Amino acid sequence: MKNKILVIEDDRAISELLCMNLEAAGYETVAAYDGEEAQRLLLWQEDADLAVVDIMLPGKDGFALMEDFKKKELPVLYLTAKDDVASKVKGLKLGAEDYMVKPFEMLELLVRIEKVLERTGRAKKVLTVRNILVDMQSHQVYKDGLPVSLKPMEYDLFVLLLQNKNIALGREELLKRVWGEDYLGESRTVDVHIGQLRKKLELYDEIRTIPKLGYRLEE
Amino acid sequence: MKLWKRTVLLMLVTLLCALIPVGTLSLYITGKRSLNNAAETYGRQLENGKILLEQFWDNSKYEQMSETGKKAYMGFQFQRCCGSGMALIDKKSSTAIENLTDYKVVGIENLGLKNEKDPYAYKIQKLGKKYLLLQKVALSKPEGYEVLSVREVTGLFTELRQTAVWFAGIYLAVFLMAGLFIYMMMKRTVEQMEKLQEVAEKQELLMGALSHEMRTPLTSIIGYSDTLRHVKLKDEQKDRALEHINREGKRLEALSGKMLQMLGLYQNHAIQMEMTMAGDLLNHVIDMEKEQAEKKAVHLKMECEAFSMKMDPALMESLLINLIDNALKATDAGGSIWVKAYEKAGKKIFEVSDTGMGIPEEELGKITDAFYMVDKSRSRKEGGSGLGLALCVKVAEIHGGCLKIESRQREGTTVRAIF
Repeated sequence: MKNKILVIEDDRAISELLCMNLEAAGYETVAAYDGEEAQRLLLWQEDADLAVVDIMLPGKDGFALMEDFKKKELPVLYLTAKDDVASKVKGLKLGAEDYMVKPFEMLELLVRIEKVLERTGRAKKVLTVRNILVDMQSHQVYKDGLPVSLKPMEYDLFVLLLQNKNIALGREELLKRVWGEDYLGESRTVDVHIGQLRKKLELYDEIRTIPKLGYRLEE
Repeated sequence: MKLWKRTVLLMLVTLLCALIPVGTLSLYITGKRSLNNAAETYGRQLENGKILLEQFWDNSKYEQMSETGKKAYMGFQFQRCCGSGMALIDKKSSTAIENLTDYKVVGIENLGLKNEKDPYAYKIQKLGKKYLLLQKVALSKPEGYEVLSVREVTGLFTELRQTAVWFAGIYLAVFLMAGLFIYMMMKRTVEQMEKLQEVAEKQELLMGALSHEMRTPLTSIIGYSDTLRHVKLKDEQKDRALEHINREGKRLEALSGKMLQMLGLYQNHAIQMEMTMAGDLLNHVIDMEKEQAEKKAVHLKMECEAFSMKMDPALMESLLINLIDNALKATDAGGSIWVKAYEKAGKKIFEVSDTGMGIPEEELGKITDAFYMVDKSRSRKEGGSGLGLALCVKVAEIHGGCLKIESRQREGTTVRAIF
């Protein structure tokens, strides 16, 4: 079961870009290119978990669509070129979970989507890759149904890689997000932990080293 | 009060402050000088009288005379030496013994001349509407007597008053003229400034629109290239990403080309006007657009009257090409586009009409603004930048013409460039 995300964006290039990345990160996506189409889509896609919405849309604009989203209790993340404070305040006051301004960083969008899903209790509790299963509630990792013991940092690192499946994460990025901003260690720490994960979970090929970038968990 | 009004007021007040003292001073100096002149003339007469009287006066004869004789002698001598306008005053009693003036002499002891010795010293007395110039000189023979000269100088004062009126009139005229001039100048400056401000605001708007127009393709380009670097994609997805990068890049290129054209138009020196036949121009344009029209299966037809016009052929070409491009974008397969050139009521008209989708009435006023697009997503797909019509308007303006757009939704659009 994957989280389903509605992408409502009129620029085809950006819409496709979003879908491409979200799918690679393990989400299911459905795209709509104008306001009316988005309304129709809402009727069909009952099981959507989140909508990424542009504000300046042909037909009904992103603000006007908010009512429909509210009826379906669908969390909304605005992704728009409108960067003035008034629009941001309006968007958030209308009930959006988050507001992002174009041009945007894909990694940031993914994190924000993840956080919105967690906040609204829609995030998947169970993550899987190959024969490995992670139960986020009990903090347990199973390989072929048998529990594997991971150290806390190894567990956090693995979950982060799982949440950004197919996306390369830099060593610095991993350090920052797993160990925190204040951690004074060097990026070698990441390499050591990655090595441990590969060994314990037997994911030698799946956790790929990307030269000059960092690591990527592939499926 | 606005700043420019305050400035005008301040300048006028300064002018007034300069004019009033100058006028008063020059009036005072003129008056003083003419009075001094009069005093000198009359003073000399008085002096002459005194000298004569002193020469002819025989003290030894006078002593031997009786009272009546003395009086008669004095009267005779005085009348002989001093003419009208003078009076002989007895110092002891301060009364006029002989009076050849037209006035009665009263209270002469309070005359209070500044310098009793100076024969030209004078005093002005106002008597009703008359002004009198009073001068006095003491006699050495007979002792104890003095001669008083009383002259009317009302004429001088009337003259002075007239001069003052003239001065005031001239100054007022100068003041009003200067005021009007300053006012007009300031107003024009302020208008110019407002115009500049408007241009600057427009420019800012244009820059905002431009940066937005550049940002959108850049977001895609950066996003896709980033995705290619970081994300594991299938081969077909990779192809799609590259395709998007390529297309958005081309869009940017087209945009920058149009922008350069716009900038070129703002620097007028590159424009070369020459007489060109309308037919030649149209043929050339149709040749260039034929291929595109065939590709879209749209009929491209032309109709032309024979006339020539002074124009920059390259610019006019780009105007027509832009209009035809727009028509092509709006027209679906099977439609047709007419390009016409004709003369009507002394005006030369180039016309491009299509049977396309038309423009909604409420949008007609805005479509010539830079970066305005009626249907954004459609226009983008067709590779539009939103600058075409803005460019056309500018070209028409350079040739002293204007652009008229008529449109009915779902029936078609007609654009006329009228010169």
